Amino acid sequence: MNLSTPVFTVARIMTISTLVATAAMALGYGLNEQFLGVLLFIALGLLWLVGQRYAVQAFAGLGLLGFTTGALLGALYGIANGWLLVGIAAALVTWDLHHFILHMRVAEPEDADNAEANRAFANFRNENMRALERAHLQRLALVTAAGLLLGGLALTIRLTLRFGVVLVLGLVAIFGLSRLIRYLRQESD
Amino acid sequence: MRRLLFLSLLVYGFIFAGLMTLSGNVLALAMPLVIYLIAAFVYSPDKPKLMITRRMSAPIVQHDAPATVTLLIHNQGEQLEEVLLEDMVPQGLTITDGEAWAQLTLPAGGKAEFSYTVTGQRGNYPFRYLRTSANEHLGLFRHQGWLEVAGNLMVLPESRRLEHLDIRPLRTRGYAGPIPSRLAGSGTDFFGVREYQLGDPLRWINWRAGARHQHTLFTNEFEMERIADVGLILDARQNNNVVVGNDSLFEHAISATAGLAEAFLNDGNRVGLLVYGRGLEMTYPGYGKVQREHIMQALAHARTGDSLVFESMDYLPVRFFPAKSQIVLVSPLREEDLSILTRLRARGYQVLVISPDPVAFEAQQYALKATADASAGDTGVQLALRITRVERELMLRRLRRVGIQVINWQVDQPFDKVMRSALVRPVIPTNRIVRIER
Repeated sequence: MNLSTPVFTVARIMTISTLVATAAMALGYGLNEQFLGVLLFIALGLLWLVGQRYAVQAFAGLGLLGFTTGALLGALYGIANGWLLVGIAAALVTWDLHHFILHMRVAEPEDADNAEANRAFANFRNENMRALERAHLQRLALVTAAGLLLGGLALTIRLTLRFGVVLVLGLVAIFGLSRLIRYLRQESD
Repeated sequence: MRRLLFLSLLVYGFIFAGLMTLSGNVLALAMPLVIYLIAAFVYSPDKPKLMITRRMSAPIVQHDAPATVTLLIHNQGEQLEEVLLEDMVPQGLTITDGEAWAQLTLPAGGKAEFSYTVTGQRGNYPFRYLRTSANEHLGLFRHQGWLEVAGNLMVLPESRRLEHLDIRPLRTRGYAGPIPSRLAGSGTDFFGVREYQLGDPLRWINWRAGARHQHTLFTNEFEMERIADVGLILDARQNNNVVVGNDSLFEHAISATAGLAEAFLNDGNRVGLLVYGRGLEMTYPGYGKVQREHIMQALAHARTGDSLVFESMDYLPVRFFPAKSQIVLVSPLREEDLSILTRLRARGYQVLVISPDPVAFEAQQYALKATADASAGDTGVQLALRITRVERELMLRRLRRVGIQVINWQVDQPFDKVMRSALVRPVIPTNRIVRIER
């Protein structure tokens, strides 16, 4: 199954966002002269592209995990946060679209003469699918823009947190986590 | 669900790291992930309230004929940003056009439909469930469930078209038909001569016989042609069935039975069906197109089965068939069946046995194997085949000896051809009738 096809807008955006994420992280690490990090992110980006090409679902999770871990370490090692934010946002877009494509069961027909595959391909092209694709991209664009905006704001506004505030935030986080676990349990029932 | 957990863990990782290092930058980097989670949560769907109706282009279709399944969806709840509906197509049906699933956006009160076309082999295919999966556009929060949307598709067996079959039961019914009734009356075939009675048509007077007797005239009598009662018995005992690859001897027997039923009903006869195997599945005798439908539906449902009670034919409900009627048994036969067939014959039933040849059917498979690897064991197989053939031939001969008409059908040969050569009354063209003058 080949997902990296110029035919689908989604697939194209996914490839572009992978490249953007890789470039942002590599640039961030490169400007800080952490060349091992540059190589690692280029390798990770390429690996993710390969995973997209062969529609390996596990690569989506691994890719996002790699990029976020890299961003976290980068923040601790003093890499410019702007690059890291862009890298995380682009990786999130790639991760989302990778799953979206698999969810929509779209695939470029491997055999041009295969009527069955062509029919599946034509099916995707129907109006309904295109409407879903548009709606998904709109929602994703909004979410990413909001994330970048708020992230950018958070990076520029400096707040000094007292121990009490940190404690409250920690409690809120634990509460949120327990709610999430409860929700997941309900869903699995 | 795993995506939601994964993303949540990433967010918590960032928060934990941010709190541990007291770094606002780390918390700020988690912002795109947090916004993504919040957006998904805000738009998470309610439990879908869908009313789905299934429509079939035809509930009963012929063998290999396409049937279109249409699903009409009405959203009676909140808006569903993305809903995946997947119809559970019964095993044995093949989708030839369209897809059995649809991914839709349904506004509150919105309607939609999707359809697909299926074909299948003989059988009854009940449609039951439809899988639903509703989620918001980002696909993190999902409601999955099953909806019962019942429907049924019946695929009738393949029927081999047969010409008029010449049967001669001892007793016929009162209505005109194509079967010689062994009674004098109006008909076409010469039956005998009797003394002239007032009112006899002059053209029926046998002048030659009259010339031999003074003052007496004789009238030709013709054999009345009537319809008859025909009882079809399909042997559905599992032990008698032979399956080679995807091909089953029982399927051949089914299509033969369907062809026979159609031919007998077309001639106006009263036909009943008994499927003997899993139990006793009876279609009571009847006439015409409605009866044809009943029989075809019974054959569409027919399955082989094991039953200790019906392992032998001793429990054949003979009373199901009118006395002295025609019985047609479609069975590969086994040695133990001879006694019941002989008893039927003794009771005055005219018995016709159509026996799909299991030996020849299985031998085909061995013949293929023999060509594939000409190993030493093949001579043993050939010998076994010869012995089995001889045994079968002896069994059929014993049946013929008691006056049972037996047709040994090798299923690779067309059934109509076999039946034509065995049963169809030859029609002699008028230009080939030779008049013998004394």
